[in-house]
Amino acid sequence: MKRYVLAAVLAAAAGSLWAQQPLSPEERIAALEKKLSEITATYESEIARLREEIAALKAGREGTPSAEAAQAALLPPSSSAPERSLWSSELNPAISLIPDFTFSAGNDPLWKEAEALNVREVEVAFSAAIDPYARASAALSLEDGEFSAEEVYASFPALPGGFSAKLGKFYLDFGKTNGQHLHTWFQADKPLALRDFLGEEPFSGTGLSLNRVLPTPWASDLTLEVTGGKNEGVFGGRRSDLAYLLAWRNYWDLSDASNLEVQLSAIQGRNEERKRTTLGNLAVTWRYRSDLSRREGLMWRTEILREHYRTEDGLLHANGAFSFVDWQFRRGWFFGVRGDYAEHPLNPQEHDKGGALVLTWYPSEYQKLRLQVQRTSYAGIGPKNALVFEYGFSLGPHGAHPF
Amino acid sequence: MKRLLWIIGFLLTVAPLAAPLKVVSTYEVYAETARWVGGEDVEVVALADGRQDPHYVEARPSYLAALQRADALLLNGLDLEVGFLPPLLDRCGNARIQPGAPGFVDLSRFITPIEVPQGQVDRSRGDIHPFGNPHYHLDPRNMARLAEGLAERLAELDPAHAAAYRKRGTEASARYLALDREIEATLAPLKGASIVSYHSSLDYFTLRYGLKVVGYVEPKPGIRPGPASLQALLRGMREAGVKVILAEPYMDLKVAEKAAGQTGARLLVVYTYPGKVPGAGTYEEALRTLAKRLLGAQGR
Repeated sequence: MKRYVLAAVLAAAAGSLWAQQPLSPEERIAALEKKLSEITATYESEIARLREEIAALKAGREGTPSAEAAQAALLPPSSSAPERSLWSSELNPAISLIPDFTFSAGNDPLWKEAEALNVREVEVAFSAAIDPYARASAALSLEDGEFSAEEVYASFPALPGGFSAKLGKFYLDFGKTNGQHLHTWFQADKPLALRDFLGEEPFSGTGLSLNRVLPTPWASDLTLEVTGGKNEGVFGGRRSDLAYLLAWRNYWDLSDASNLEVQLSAIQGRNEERKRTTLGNLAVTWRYRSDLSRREGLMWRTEILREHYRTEDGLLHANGAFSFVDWQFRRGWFFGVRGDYAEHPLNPQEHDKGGALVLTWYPSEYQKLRLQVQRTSYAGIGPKNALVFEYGFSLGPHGAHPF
Repeated sequence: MKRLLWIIGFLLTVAPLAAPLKVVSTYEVYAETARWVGGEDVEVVALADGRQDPHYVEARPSYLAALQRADALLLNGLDLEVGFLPPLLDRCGNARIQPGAPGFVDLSRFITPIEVPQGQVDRSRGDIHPFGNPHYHLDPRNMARLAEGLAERLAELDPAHAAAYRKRGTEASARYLALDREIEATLAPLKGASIVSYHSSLDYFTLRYGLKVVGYVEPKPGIRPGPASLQALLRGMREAGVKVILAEPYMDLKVAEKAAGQTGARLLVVYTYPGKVPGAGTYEEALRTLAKRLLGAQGR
């Protein structure tokens, strides 16, 4: 097009010069030079105009495309589309990275063991469909320079008979809080009862989990889990021993804005004396959320735990409980209070108790800042205090967590 | 012969008892479409209604019971349900509505999304939707396409009533297009008017009816405005003579009120997802209310 414009202008210029007879060679050269500079100016202004048009079109595409542009997107891709790599990354799993940092001060042994400024955990999560029948999820945790598999399992969401299942290593469905990854905790630390009864690490197992929604008039489901019977801090059986868990969850919508969830769970396995250890958990959660906004919400959760530990000399039992309230008082801001009580499983005469005040702010969905003040009275040690600042963020498409 | 009569008799008795197709929709807006298209051949349940922020619907275990029985799941798609639907699908134990199954109906397949991010997609651009703006229901022409697409899917799932689904799908599509013409006529005086929206949720609506969005209260999707971005917005509003700020009730209205107060604009708090909310009980009512209030706020 530009070539034609140029040719036409040159032809017009030549014609014009031809018409102006007679001229000396010098005059003709000067006239030609003048015409050429005019042509160059016209040509450059035309190019500038076209550039502006292209820039405007590009800006339109990056902003809000027109309906016509949207319609054009329906057309099949043109043959000038770039070639796809033979080693496409499109089938890679979704990958997320979720580090958690703490700064702590005080004399509480829980926090004193760690560095004052500490990378507490780096969670790397993967998830993808294995094939049309199963999905895989993995959460690897980097702590103190060592990677460990917190959860690695295949899930089968639609088995015959309305069952769903997990196969692999997973957090056991024991109570509500145990199933939560560190970055989704409501406080900076794990409640005392869970630490004393289940250990510092997440209470997980390797085996099979089978779940089914029950045909009750209210929402209810049942989970059966069979996992290996060796579990640090809880079960100490032989490698051939198994642990069995049964969890029954019930749920009622009290109104459009509030609901109640009651979960009963129990797990049984062999302890180091090859006798039975049974743990029970009653978890009650009440949630309220304002209908119209995310600016107000309230959650109250209480979990009561009981452990039966059979020995050669008889039966030991211990109780523990924690209760907390988490109040969302404006968008992104939460204030929480927690109370703890836990008897020592092997020495129920001794118990720990404590409490924490927590302020959490989410500047966006992907960052968290938390300030926590806690006071814990440990049996035999006495009251200890800690001030904890926690910061965490999340990279990648880490999806929704189980409710 | 006697046996044949028995069989015919049995079929005649059982056929009327055949249960309607059970449809679960993530949002009430599409449940309404399903009722229009499905008529008496479907039983429809919606998980979320107009009161909830569609980005942050709380996954309730009580949804599991509905999902477990569903023959079809209608979802908005374009990642709008990513925060609550995956764990429900994982636990509902229903093969008919899992991704890839015929009952998994991603309605975004029937429309062409706008604002599909180009270039590098990351969170520095805010809480963006990598597959495009998911609030496509606010262009009734999209709903018309969707009604016809849904009719085809229901016909595949329930071939016995295919003709009825297709007929009702065409009727529903025409109804959406009639609504589109009505809203277009109502908003004709506002063509080219400059407005501000809190979030990009109204972009399909403004694009369709020729309203010019000169800015968003959120500097980037899902990001709360800071003092600098708010000042820039106020400058832009004054220059463009913006008279209206549109915001949904679940947004941070204080900032929007401040922007309105400082520029003399009017803050219109509107429901963009219908269902159980005043002035937006149904889709048609929601759009008519929105158009009427916009007209009133612009002094026309």
